Amino acid sequence: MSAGYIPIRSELPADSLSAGSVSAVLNEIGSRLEILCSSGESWRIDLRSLPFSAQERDRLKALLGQGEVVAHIAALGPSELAETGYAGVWWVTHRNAEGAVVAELIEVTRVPDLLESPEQDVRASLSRLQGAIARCATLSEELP
Amino acid sequence: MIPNESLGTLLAQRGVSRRAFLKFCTAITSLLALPPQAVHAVAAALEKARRPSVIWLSFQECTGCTESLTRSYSPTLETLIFDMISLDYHHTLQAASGTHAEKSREEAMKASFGKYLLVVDGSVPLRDGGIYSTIAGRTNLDILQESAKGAAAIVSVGTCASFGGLPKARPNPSGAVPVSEVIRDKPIVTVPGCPPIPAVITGVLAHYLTFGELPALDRLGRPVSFYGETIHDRCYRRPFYDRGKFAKTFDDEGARAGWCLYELGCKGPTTRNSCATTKWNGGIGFPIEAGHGCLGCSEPDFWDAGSFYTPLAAATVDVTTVAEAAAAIGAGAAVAMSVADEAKRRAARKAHEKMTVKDL
Amino acid sequence: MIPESFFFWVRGTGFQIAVALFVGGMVFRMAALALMARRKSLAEPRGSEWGPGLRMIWRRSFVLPQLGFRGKLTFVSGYLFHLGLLLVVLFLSQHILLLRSVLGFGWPSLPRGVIDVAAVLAMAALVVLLVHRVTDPVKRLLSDFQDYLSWTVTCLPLLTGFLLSRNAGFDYRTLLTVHLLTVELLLVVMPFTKLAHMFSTFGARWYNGAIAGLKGVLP
Ligand code: SF4
Repeated sequence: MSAGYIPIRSELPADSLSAGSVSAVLNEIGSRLEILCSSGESWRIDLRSLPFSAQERDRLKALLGQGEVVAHIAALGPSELAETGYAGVWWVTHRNAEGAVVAELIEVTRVPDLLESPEQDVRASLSRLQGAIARCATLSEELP
Repeated sequence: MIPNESLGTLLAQRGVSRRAFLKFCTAITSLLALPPQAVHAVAAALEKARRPSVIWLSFQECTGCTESLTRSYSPTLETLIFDMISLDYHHTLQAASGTHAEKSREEAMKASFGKYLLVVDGSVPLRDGGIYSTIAGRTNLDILQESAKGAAAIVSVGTCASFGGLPKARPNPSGAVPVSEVIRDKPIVTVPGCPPIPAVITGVLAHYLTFGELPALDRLGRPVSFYGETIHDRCYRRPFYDRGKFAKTFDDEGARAGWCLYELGCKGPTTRNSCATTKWNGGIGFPIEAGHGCLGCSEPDFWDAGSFYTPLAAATVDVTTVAEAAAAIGAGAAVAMSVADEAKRRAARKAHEKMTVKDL
Repeated sequence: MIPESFFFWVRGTGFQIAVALFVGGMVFRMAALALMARRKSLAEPRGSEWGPGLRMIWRRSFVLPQLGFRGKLTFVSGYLFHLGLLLVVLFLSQHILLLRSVLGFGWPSLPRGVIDVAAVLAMAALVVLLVHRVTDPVKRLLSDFQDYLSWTVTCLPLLTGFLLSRNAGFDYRTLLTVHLLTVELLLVVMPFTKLAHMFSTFGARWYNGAIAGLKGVLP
């Protein structure tokens, strides 16, 4: 279910008063991208913390555009990490199992760190894989 | 339930991957309005946190607050927070009943005396010795006072526990008061709303878990991160308000075009809550998005603040009769004065004439 | 922030008290003026009273007398202020809501932009008039406490209302409470000071004209 069911239009005037906030975020993204270039430091912007209307959010999204990479994560509900038209700027949406957005961020980074396999999980998977290899070995030994 | 286990261990046991945990921490960080760079600090803190014991008391209430919290039945990020506490007593949710239930409360209180969180929904009736709401033959007042003794902090969930709510509305037949009027020596967080947003209830618990202390509170005990701004501050219809474009009825052209609902009684400008950003029903929307003004349900005495449909600018009381009466009194006084004046003059003139005649 | 109960009081009981004093006081003063005992004029009327009365209202209201710069300034500012105040008080949509809840009927509002301009002009005019009052030696001598009181209680609602409409400085509840309080103060003060001229002005002008007419000095 989505708000699209409700037959209420909401059309903000084109020259909406808070149009300035979109360019403010763009400026922040720009200066963070500069830092990413020079020192490699990445940054996050929580879209929920901004006084955005749905239209302004959409406008920002349209301005940033669509890049080459879209990654999906299925952990406690779906997440989408999409590189925008500007390399190094990612639009990240986390949803819960019911599909509701629980966090929406802009990440200024080369790779969002959630995409990397976490150390603990890698270590755990190593021991699992070793178990599997061992099982496999015994299995093939038993085979004639 | 083993309250001493750390959350990291607990989640690992449940098969929650590290990545899922980090996503969860991202959601919590956003929910608590912390700077998004703090995700890893939040993760580190949550991993080491111990599950606090929680005792939940329900007094003069409608169970709407509990409904709000438990309405999502599939495991979600929000319910995960609930897995992170040890809910040791909640008479709507627990399986035990009667003496067993009361015993479990006493045991939990003894086991973590001085450390448990006490959550209360509903107001406390005081009139006639508090007999208007009792549990297991004991008054709410009695149970609250007893349970508060060993609590590290109290969370008043809902407008009733926070400010008295509907039971306290005029004429308040049961003498209902909020928790803060009974318990004065414990830190109290209020999470008002009728009902409060589920994410806000869990957000307060998450904050307590993450930082081991209560969040920053405003004058009314509300967490600033959720009640710092008014609905009006963050309302998506605000550009219409600023331009003076108002819906005049619920079905006119303006209402259909999503214009501001101020003239239809919206209390958004005087109501602090995060409905406009956190939203309801899994993020679908909030009342103003559905076309109805804000009722102001998270503010003290909202039941007595006039009709839900009276605009904030209009009078909440009958002024017309007062004005009519005042006009009548004013006119009466003026007539009386002029009559008296006239009489005085006439008397003076008469006296004056007589004097003159005699003198002459 | 201001406690909620005070906000309720200001919107409820406080408002009732203010309106009662305003309406009661105004009706009393106007009726007292109209009924004031006057000695019967025994002289033969040398002209009519209606024509000159109306003409005097017109003359005092719309005919620009010969004035120097300062005089013109006072004149223009006075007009701007009264016009601005009238527009703001009667044609801001929020005010119409309030008046409708009291009177039982309403009328169309003016756009926000117009009201904003009117409010700014009215406040600017008030400032000009105050500066003129304190810098002009004659005016300063003529001014007493009541003049400054009237200026203050008139300016405050305009100022707080303007802040309220911009949501500036404080939260909406605080601003609305303060705005209502200043309006209530104005309502209470009005009938008992020079501000009562809001109702007596035209009556007084008519009376002046009519008297002159009866004496035959104003055709
Ligand atoms: S609908 Fe309510 S909260 Fe939204 S802008 Fe209008 S008055 Fe403010």
